Amino acid sequence: MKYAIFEIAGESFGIGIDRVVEILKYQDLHRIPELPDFVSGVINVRGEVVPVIDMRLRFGIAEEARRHRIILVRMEGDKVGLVVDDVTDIVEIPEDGISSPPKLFKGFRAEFMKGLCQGRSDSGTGPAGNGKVIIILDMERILTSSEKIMLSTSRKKLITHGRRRVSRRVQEGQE
Amino acid sequence: MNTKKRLSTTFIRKVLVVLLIGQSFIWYWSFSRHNITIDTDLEKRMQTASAIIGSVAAAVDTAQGHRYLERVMDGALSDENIVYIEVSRESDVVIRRSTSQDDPALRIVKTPIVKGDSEIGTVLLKYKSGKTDTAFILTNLTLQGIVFTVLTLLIYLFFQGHIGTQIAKLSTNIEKVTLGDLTQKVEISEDNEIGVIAKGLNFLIERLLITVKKLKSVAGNVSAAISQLNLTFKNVINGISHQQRSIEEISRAVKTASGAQLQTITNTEKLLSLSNDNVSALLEMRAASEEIAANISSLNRNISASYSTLAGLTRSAQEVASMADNATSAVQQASTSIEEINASVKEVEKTIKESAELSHQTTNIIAEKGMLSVVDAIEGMERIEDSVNSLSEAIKRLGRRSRDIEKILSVIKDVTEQTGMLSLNAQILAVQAGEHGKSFSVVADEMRSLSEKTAVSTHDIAIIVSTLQKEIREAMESTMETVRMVEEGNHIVLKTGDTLREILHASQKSTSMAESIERAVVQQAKGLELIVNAIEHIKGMIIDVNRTTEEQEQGTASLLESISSIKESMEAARNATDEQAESTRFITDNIELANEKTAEIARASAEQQEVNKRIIEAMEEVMVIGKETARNVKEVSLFISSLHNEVEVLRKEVELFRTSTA
Repeated sequence: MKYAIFEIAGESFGIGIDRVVEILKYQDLHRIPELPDFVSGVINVRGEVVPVIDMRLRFGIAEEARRHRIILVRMEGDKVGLVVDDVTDIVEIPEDGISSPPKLFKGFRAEFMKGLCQGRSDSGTGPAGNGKVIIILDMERILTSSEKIMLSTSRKKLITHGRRRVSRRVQEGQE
Repeated sequence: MNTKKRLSTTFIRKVLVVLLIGQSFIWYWSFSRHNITIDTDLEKRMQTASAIIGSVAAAVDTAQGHRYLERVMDGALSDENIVYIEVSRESDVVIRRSTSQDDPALRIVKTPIVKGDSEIGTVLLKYKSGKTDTAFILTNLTLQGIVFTVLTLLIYLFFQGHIGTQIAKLSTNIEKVTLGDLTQKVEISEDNEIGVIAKGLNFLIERLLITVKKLKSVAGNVSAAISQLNLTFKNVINGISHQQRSIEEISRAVKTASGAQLQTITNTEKLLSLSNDNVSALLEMRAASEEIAANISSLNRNISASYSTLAGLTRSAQEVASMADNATSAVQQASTSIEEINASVKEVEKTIKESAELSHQTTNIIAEKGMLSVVDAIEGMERIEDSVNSLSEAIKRLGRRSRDIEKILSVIKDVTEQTGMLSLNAQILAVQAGEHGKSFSVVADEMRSLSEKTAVSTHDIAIIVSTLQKEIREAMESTMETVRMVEEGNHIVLKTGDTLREILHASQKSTSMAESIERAVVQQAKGLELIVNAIEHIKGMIIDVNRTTEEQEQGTASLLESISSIKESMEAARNATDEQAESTRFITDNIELANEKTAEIARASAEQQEVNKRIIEAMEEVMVIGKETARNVKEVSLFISSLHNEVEVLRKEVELFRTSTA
């Protein structure tokens, strides 16, 4: 299976490419009062309003650092943007190359992890990552089930009541 | 789709080929069996005929019997297979043959003729093999043909009627999709394997449609980005060629400066040698002046001596009446002294003329060549100044250009980053497109490696540009130093001009002194003539001394008067000579000072030449670096245009897909 490798605070993370829709340049987020706390804002992706989750905030890492990219992923059938520092590579990682995670790895809670994978040093043949350990994320566990429900509810609210207003605000923001 | 390529047609064709091969095998086997039977029958028949002819030949040997034998043989020849019969006995040989006896495919049967217990001859019978039964073959073939045709029709009806139609429908749809029409939908609702394939195909087409739409937008973005990149690179190349031209300009300016410098050095050397000439001329002049001084003092001594002699003579004149003989000898002595004085004065005159000539020459040398050299030097220095100023201007322009390049590099960095992100997206799309995305995946990988290469090259160029900027700063510093040195050189040259003017002034003064000395000496000579005349007069008086002492006294007084005028002249000459010697010393000192200054100029020029060489070296280094930059940029440009080509190919491929029904 192929994984998109991204970096947050110098650590490498991987998510399955089947969940990835697109990689975008970082753009300013629009904050909207109707959104739940864990959503940092929304962006306009070619006319579509997409909620965005800042992975640094999600992992509880201090805010000072520049964010370069937004990974658009499919979550519960809808698109969600994840703000990361950088997307470095797309690599093939065999299932047997992923080991089960310890309870706590370098301060990241195991609940988000699907497993760890030893990245390849430059001369090796394994997945990339300069010999670093790649944390494979479990997309299903990035949000708790209650958060998923909140997200889908607020999305519906956005669509039914506030879609026009939000789109207008997003467009104004862009202009 | 071509009927020949249909799956059902191919299948039917293969079954028919197998059937045809089987039938052919069976037909061949039955035919060969049939032939073998015919051959065996024929051989038996021939042996029987041969045996009959043999027994007839053994039984008969009369003439009647012979005719009987011939009839029997003719009878045998009526068989269409037998072509030649030969009966050879001890008594005779009988041969009967049909026309085609020489056929090489003839078979031979030999039978001995036996009479009683002894063999009396042989029967030789030649025959051709029997004809194939054509009726048998035709019947066989016709039957098999009928069976084959019926089977073909049956198989065709079965496959084409049921499975073939559905597969054809499926394949027509696939064909349209392959040609790029993604708006197709397969309409088979059966519940067998073909139905499942149709559903799967519909799903795949839908997915492919989404992917291709995405691909279209991505390819458009990439293409635009690369066009921008191309434009940027053209700017970079323009900037670099500008830079190259500026550097060449600088090189030329530095070379001009160097040439002017060399001229200055040559001029300075000329000036030095002239100065040395001056110094030697002045030394000569000084020697001459000293000689003049010595001569004049000896003249003075002589005049003093003659004055005292005359004083003595005056005193003696009082007593001349009583000492006439003494007076004669005294006048003789005075005459000798005067001649001596005259010779000295002549010598003085000659030396002074020489001195005046030398002084004049010196003035000329200083006024013409010296001043001319200084003017040349000043002009050279001005040219150097101009060159150095234009050099410094060109280097400043170069600095500005390199800052422009820095700006362009930041744009390239942005574009490279964008391309890297696009390549990641392309890879994602390629993976999600599955089997259909494999070719695109290759392009995406290519794009990515190109963007990485571009990033590396951009980094290299950034390093080169910063090196270049450092070199330009160094060149600027060197130029500033040159400007300073040129100013110093200018100052020195101007100072030299001033000094030379002072020398000229002193030299002119010295010339006028020499001329006044000459005039004084001429006056002195005139005075001496007067003295000579006076002496002549004295001589005359001494002849008449005895006659009149009053007259003598008068003559002595006039003589004293003349001598005092000579003395005055001599005083003036002495003063002038002293002044001349002093002037000459002053000139010598000045010229030595000028020499020193000139040597200083030579040193400064050499130093400046060294600086120029360093500048030229730095410039050449800058040029080499510039060329390297140009080469790198061209390489990057090549990468980018190949990237552009790849993306264009991708775009064309994507354009081929029809994604909407409109």
